Amino acid sequence: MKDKLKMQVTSHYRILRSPARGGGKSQARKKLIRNFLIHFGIILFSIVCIYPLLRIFSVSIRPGDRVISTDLSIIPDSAALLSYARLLKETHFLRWLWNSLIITMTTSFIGVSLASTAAYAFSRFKFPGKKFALLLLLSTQMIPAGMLILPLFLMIMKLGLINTYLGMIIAYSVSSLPFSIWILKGYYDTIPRSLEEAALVDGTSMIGAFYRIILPLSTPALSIAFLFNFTMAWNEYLVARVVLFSSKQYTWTLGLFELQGQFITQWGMFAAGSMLVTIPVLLVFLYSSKWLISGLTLGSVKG
Amino acid sequence: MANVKFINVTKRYGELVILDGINMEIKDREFVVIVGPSGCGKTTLLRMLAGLEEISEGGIYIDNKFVNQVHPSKREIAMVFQDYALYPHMTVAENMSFALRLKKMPQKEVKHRVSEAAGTLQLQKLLDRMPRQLSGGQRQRVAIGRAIVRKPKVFLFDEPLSNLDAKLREEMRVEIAKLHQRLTSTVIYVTHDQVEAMTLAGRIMVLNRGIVQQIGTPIEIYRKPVNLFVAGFIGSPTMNFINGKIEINGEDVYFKASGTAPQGPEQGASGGTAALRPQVSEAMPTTSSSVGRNATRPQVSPACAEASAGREAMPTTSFRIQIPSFLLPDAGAHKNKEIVLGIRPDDVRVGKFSDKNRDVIETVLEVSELLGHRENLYLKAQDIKILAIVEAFFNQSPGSAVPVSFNHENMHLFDKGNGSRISV
Repeated sequence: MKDKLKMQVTSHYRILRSPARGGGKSQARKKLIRNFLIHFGIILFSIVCIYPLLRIFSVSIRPGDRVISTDLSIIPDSAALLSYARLLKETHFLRWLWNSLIITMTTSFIGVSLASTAAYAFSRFKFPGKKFALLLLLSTQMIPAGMLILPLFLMIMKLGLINTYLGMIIAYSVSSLPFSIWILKGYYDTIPRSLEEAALVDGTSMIGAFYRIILPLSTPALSIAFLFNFTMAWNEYLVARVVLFSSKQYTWTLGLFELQGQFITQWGMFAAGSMLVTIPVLLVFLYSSKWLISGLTLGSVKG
Repeated sequence: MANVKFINVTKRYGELVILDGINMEIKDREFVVIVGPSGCGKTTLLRMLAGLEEISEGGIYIDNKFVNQVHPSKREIAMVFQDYALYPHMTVAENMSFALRLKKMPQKEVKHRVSEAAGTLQLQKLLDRMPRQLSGGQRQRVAIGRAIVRKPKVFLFDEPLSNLDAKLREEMRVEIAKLHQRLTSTVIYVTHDQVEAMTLAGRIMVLNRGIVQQIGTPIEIYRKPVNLFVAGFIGSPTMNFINGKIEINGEDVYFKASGTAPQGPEQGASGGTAALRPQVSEAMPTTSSSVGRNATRPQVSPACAEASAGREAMPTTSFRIQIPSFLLPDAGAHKNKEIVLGIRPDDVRVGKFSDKNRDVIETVLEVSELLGHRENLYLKAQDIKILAIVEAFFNQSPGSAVPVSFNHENMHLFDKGNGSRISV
């Protein structure tokens, strides 16, 4: 009796399963093809992104006579760190790195500080010309950077800040501020106003509510603004070219360009320098990633 | 604890008047509920009291101190927001102690107050959790806890239960009532839910379109609404409103019905109709046969039967109700004037008339709604709609004839022109 029942159940199960199994096979095949195409695309783009980096790394560790080679191996025979050593010894590379670091970090901190407060005002207060000012900020981002070189140069020259850190910091800060303000304003708009009102009733001032409540909740947007400011200032070349004259004041972008001579380019040292300048950026990205958390305001108000 | 005074408080946004000359004195330790429909200005009034909104005109006094220009933190108030407004990056304990830490209160005192409030609100086990790890009810309790640790002079509640489900709302309502009894503090509570207003308030302020309609105890407002708006807004289900005229025949005063007045607070505010308040009446289920046996009661007219079958073009034949002299002493002044009679659904008596003088109105049952212990009957007397509440189970099918009468003592008469109450 028990066996009979088991057989019935099994056959019934097969009947139920059989049409689904056919459909399941074709679905699984489709899924397989889709996955293959997606992975193929991802791998292809990864290669396109990573290959130049590997190639630069490869060039940076090649001996001087084998820099231009058709050899595809990443780590060539007789690989050495000679280019790195020469770069550090024979040029002002560390000085250039230091200059870049000071200008970039200061620009980023000033940019984020100014943008965070300016964006708060745009997000929370009503004042005459608010819309126009926002549009004006946005419009500055639509002007090609090259067009601003001459006015920036003239402005910095009149301020007597040519060939100084401050000149560079001012130039970089003003060009990155509008974008940072827009990013932060957009984020503040999503934070419920009742949080600040609760803080006001609890005993803070408006500024206190901003520092104690709004800023801690805005770390993702602040990180994005900081990273934007950092990468923009770190990689900038054009403004640096017109503002800085002496080799000792150069940022790394100008410094590396100096390695390119009229008749010969030090490709090994160039590649070694390129590898070294990625390290600070990598460190900043790794540190910032912990602040890029979503859902910070969850639970504050009824969703 | 403190008293609160609103003196001619007005709020304008440009030309738009949001609140128009609000005057009220709230006594120390009083529980006042401000109630009104969405957009009536009740939250704006509360925010002005909290210092979160500027005052266009007039003055607000807390503990007899003029506070118009005083910063919210200096007003010694605590506010529970509609959306909780918990600080999401702080734990429950940090949320509750935030205001105390700002005041630089000693750590020991902060801890004591937080644990005391947590004990009252059953939050002890949740103190280390973040707001996102709490349910809606728990969040609301934390928001209340954040207010009570401060021991403020005045508590402000801005629709604190509107985001909770029905069961939780009921529980929290009881909790808030208990809390008020325990803390004996001045509470100003804003809601659009008239059940919350009726159950919690010592006094109610009814607001509409920025104007105070009535201030009084819940029972005053329920029994003696000063105008059609209040009559329609307070009470659930809504009062029945019937248009008509006053007729005088010798010593007797009659209300001659001519149609159903628009229902609901908005219509009620502008129009005039008589209103009845529904209460669970001693309903005696009447079967069709029992109606038929009662020779003194009018039978269902063909017109009524047609109406119950969903057909239109029913002739308008109105009914007449005698108005007791105590209800309208100056009846002569209202003779032939358009008025509105209001009667609450629980003052509509169905199927039991021992009083011979009672006016009986023949109606037809359109729909009945069984709500467990009671039943809503949607009736129609010619073209006049009447809602009655009876005890469950009213064993009648749609289309049945249902004779009803009104509880004369609880009838309300309003001037149709300005909506104001004319009956005593």
